[in-house]
Amino acid sequence: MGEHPEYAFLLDHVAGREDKEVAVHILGCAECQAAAAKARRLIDAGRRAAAEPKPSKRALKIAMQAFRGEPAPSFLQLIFDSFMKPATAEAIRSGALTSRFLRFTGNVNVEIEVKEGASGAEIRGLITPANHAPEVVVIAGKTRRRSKVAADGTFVLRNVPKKTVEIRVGSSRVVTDL
Amino acid sequence: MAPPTDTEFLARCREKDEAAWKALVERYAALILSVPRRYGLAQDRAEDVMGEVCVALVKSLDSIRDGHALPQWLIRTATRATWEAARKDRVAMTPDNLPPLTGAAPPDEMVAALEEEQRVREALAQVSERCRRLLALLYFTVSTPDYDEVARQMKMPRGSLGPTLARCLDKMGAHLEGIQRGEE
Repeated sequence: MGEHPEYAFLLDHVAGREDKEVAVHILGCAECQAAAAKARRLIDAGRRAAAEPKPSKRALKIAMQAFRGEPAPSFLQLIFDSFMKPATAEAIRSGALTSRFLRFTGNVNVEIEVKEGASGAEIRGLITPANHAPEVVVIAGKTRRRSKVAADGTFVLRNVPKKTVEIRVGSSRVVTDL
Repeated sequence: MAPPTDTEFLARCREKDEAAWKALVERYAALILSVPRRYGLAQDRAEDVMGEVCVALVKSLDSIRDGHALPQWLIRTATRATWEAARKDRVAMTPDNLPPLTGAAPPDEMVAALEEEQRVREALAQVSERCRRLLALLYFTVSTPDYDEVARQMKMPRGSLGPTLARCLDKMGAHLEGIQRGEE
């Protein structure tokens, strides 16, 4: 191949489609080596960009809230889960394992106790500071449960489906399995 | 018609034009999110970082007048916000292929690579859906399917691939040049 390969052939070569003629030409052509290096940067950048998931609706919502000066939702971090600790013999005997205790922290502290109820889970919780939000909302699929937060920061939610839930306390959120 | 430049978007954002902000965010959301994601932050934390970057950008709208400086500013701000998030979560993140995460500015090499990705992203956003799909199948997937397979997936005759590809490459090349010169 005397003439320089077309750009599409060069890209094919760099992308990994074997073509001996193109490969031989590039070996002996400094100009094509430079073009191949540029094509390599383009393909690598395109592959890295293509591997990125599309921004979620939540990400775009957060960006719009920033422009409007609204507080962005903040995810709280799990710092304690009683189910992640080995159970003591005493806990097993006393039946304490019927409850699960979870503690989250961030711009507010949230502690919850999850118990098996007659139709779903019962969540009793405490938020500190107590005046962080007037209510707590739990979203489990299409189901929503609300509870007012008492003056001492306590709240109770009943009949919550036992699945992955999102708990919202003002602009703070927790996503957990029950 | 070429889309508005970053400089034009920034000027409109200063005038509280929410549509301009939305368009700017749509242009750069993937770039901003790519920084915390590559450093291993979970999806929700990466989105929190994006929120931090957006808040910082809103505050800096008056000082960033030149749109050419915006991609670098976003990368540096996202890197710093990622470091802050990792520090708060007490997570040490240093993937093998990335420089260590510190409070300092990211290395120029990393910034240049992310800028290159952004240019490709923007150029692809400006070509037709058909071109975008064809170019992605041929060059931007790791599997490198052969032309027969690409024709099958594109539902195109094998013989039409070459001319269509040539047109798509021309369009993408023109957009890449325009973005490089700051016209788009």
